Amino acid sequence: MMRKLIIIILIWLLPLPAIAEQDTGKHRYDYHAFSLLPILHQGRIKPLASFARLHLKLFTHSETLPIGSTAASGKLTASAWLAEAILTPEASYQRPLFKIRSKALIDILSLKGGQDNSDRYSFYEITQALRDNQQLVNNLRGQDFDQLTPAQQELLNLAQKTVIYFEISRTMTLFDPIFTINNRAYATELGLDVGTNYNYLEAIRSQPQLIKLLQQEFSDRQANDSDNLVDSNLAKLLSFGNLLDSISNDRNSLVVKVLPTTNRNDLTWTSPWENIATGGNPSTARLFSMWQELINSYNAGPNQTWLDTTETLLSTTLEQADYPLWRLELEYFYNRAELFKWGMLLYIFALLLMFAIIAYHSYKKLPASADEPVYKVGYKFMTHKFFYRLTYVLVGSGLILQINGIVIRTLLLNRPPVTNFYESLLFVTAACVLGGLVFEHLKRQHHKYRGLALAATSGIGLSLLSFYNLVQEDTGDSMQMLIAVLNTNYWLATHVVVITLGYAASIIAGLLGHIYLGNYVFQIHTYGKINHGTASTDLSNSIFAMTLIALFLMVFGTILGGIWADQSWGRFWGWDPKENGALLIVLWLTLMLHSRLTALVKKHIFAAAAVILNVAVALSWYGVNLLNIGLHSYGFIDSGRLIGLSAFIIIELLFVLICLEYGRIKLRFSMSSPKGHQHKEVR
Amino acid sequence: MRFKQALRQLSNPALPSLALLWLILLLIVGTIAQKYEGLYAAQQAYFASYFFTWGFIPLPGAKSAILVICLGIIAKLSQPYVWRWRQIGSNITHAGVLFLLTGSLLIGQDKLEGALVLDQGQDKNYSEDYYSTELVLMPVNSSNRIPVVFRQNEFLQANRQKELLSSANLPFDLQVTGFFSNVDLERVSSDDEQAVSNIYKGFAKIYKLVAKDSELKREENLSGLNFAIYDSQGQLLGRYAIFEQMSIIQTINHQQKTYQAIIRAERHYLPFTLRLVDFKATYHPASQVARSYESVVNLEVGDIDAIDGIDQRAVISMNQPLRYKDWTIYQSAFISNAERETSILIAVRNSARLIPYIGGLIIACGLLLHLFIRLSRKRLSLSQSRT
Repeated sequence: MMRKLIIIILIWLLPLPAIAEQDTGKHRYDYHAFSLLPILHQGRIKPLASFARLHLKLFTHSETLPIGSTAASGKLTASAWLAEAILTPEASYQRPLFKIRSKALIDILSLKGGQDNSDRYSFYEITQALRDNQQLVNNLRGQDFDQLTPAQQELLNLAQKTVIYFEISRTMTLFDPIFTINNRAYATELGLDVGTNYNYLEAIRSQPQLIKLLQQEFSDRQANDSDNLVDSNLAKLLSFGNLLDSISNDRNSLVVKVLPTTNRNDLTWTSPWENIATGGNPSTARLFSMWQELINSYNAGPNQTWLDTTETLLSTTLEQADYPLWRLELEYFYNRAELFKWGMLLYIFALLLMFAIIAYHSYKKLPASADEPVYKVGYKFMTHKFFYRLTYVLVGSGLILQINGIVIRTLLLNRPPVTNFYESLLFVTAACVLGGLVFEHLKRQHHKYRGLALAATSGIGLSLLSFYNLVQEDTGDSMQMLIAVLNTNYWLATHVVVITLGYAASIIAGLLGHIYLGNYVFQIHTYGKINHGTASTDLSNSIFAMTLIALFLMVFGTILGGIWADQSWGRFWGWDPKENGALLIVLWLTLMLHSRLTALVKKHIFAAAAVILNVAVALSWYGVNLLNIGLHSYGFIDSGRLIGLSAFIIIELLFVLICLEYGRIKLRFSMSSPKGHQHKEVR
Repeated sequence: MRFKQALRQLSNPALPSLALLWLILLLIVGTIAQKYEGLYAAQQAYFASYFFTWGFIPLPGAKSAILVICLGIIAKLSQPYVWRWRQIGSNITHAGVLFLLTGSLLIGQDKLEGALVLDQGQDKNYSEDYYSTELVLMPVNSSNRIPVVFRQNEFLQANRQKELLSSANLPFDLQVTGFFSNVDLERVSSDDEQAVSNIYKGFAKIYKLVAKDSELKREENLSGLNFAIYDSQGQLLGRYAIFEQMSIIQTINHQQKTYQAIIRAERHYLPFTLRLVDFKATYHPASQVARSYESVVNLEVGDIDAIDGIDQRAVISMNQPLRYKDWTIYQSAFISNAERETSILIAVRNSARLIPYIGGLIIACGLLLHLFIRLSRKRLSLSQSRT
């Protein structure tokens, strides 16, 4: 009992190293409270850290920002980067940020190596290069985006990114104390103190007097017929006015909505500029002064004031918004813990452990049994009690981390676990791994297959989670709000969950098919006898049972989908590509079951059909998305992954063909030996 | 005896399995074709047909495959040996599949679907077909203002059989000489016969309709029609050309009567009138993602001031359609601009609505029962082997 408890605690502690991640830049500010500051972005309230990660990833394709060219120089966390960008924008414009992957684009923009010889360029460098190529950018904007070359597309994306970055960076410029008047007479006229630094909000109050003063100055000089119309004093006054004009252009900075309303249900949060444009309100005045203080304390360097200010700002904002801190902390933890990456890592360990044991013992040929094939020697050791349990723990730990991640997402988003393609990947992976573990547990007494389901389970967990990471890399925010048609928790919790469970059951059946076929090839003895022992029959029965479960889930899920379609669109079935995809799996499962029940095919062909079931799942789950047509096109992703899908299909089909053909040739060859004729196939 | 033999032959699983395999192939090919031929065209060609041609080779469509499967199921269920307790789940499932497929094949044919494009304050008592068109001849200066309508199927069939279209309300006969699902216009040169001859009238004197490749989306196509009119003696009176959404409507003058000739989306008249009272689209805060869009409508049936009249206010939103008898009206899309807001609703009539519900329920029960029987039999055999 104690041992089990220790193992469970260890599993829960696994994500801790990720949480310990700190920015290792020169400035050691404490960004914890700053990271938790709530912001309204893309339909929901999230911690500022999530907003920062999302945008840093957009600009640099990474969730942290290296400070120098070497790893030793350290890196900034997303929160540290955002703090710099919004609190000291001018300084941030020089930091290498925008990563350009395309060599062709670097050539188009005639960019030399970035400041730190990396492929990242500062805002200043990029805007300069874009200015030089303004004509080209304008021309490209008028063309069909899909018809452009990848480099041209990246150029337009880059231009868009600089706009987004600039908008973010100008969020707090209204608090920058950059307005000073040194001429006593002018200062008196404007009602300001000489030599004092004012921010925009304070300086703008003197605008009517400023206009009057300028008009007065010019008319006086014209009346006096002065040669020197603009002297140095007037030039400074003019630049004061120009600066006011220039900063007021930042009023379009709307994206960083950190000022809440006083009503919890009212989500019309505003950015500081937006707030003053709408007239502001007394409650935000307090927050305004806190943000002002935050800029001052940031400029003063990392000290207690910064820490106190961020914490006060956080508590005041939450109090005003009446929003619970735990939700922000949970999301902050979720982002930093990277539970799915850890889960993937554990699956890799499990798989590597198995490979290592097989390789080691195959090399040592233990036990020395001459007629045993190499794979069996290692296999025996793979099922060694200690290693076997260790693999169990590794796969189980991966699953627990993954389930934690899914539960946290569900809590944060207040909706069922599967609402888009990315979430379906997570859910199906968890269901597959769970199914694999249950199968392994049920068959643990069967030494012949012991460990194989574990290996396959970790393999599928690993592949699907890797795919998830790949897809998420392209998307950025995987926690987006749902479009109108999906805004129904009832159907998401029933139809979508059942269908994805059907995918998982089909994938498990496919995995068992792989194991069966792999085994089938090795089971053909030298004398032409296929030794379908009880283990083999048992495995085939397992495939059959899994196929039946998959069919039930797929049929039930498809019917539920039809009812949803009828409730929403007035028709049960419309031959929409996504519907066709689900039907494809249903039909294939039906064909498999009937072929097996009516003895139309032998067991190894049935197993091959189970492998091909994986192809049907890939086509239905992922393939139809590539078509990007139909009423279900809301769940779709970009269509640049056709090669990956084709490769998967070809590999699966080749696997089936090779196994069946190799088995057939081996069987025929051995049958042609004198002893072979004495044996018959045992079914 | 021979019938029984035939049934036994049909109950062989090989043929339905083959049909199933064919259906799978069709499903893959048809779904991919939807991308290139358009959703509707591919659906009609592969899924809603008994036969289609691949090049010049005729091949069975999905309906034929479904028919073979249905026959296989009927034959199988007619065999006495399948009616055993342990197979009851499987039999119920098959009966459910049979009910679903035949029901959809037989009753599901009268499904009608059309769009109601309504501006705020506008009302309509018809929906417009998404795919089919109609030719309308509207009398202008006559006391009888009932339009004469020829539906696309009707005039295409007449065109194929080189027949004239006629109506008691028309003083002339009409022959469709060309139909284009999408057209381009080509200006006729001044020395062309079409420009010189008096037989070409109105728009046809200046422009020629030229066939253009159909766009995948129906709304991006403009259908066009060439037709000629004849008097009762078969004398050619004139040739005309019209296309959808012409800015100047083509008129036909004959015997002091004037008719407007229009080609437009086929109208399905509804047993009610729908008035769009208000349209609202709400977005998730700080995002461009629509959270919901809804149309507030008035459903009016008959004389709304009479006792049996209906004047009902309803809200149609995503996943919340309005139902009236066999009709379902759902929110499909909207067009919003500075001038006005337009709601696009789809009206569907589906009298076979309950079939999938009943069929689905039977199948689910059958599968559950089958799973239960299998599991209990397995448990029984395990306990027997232990003892």
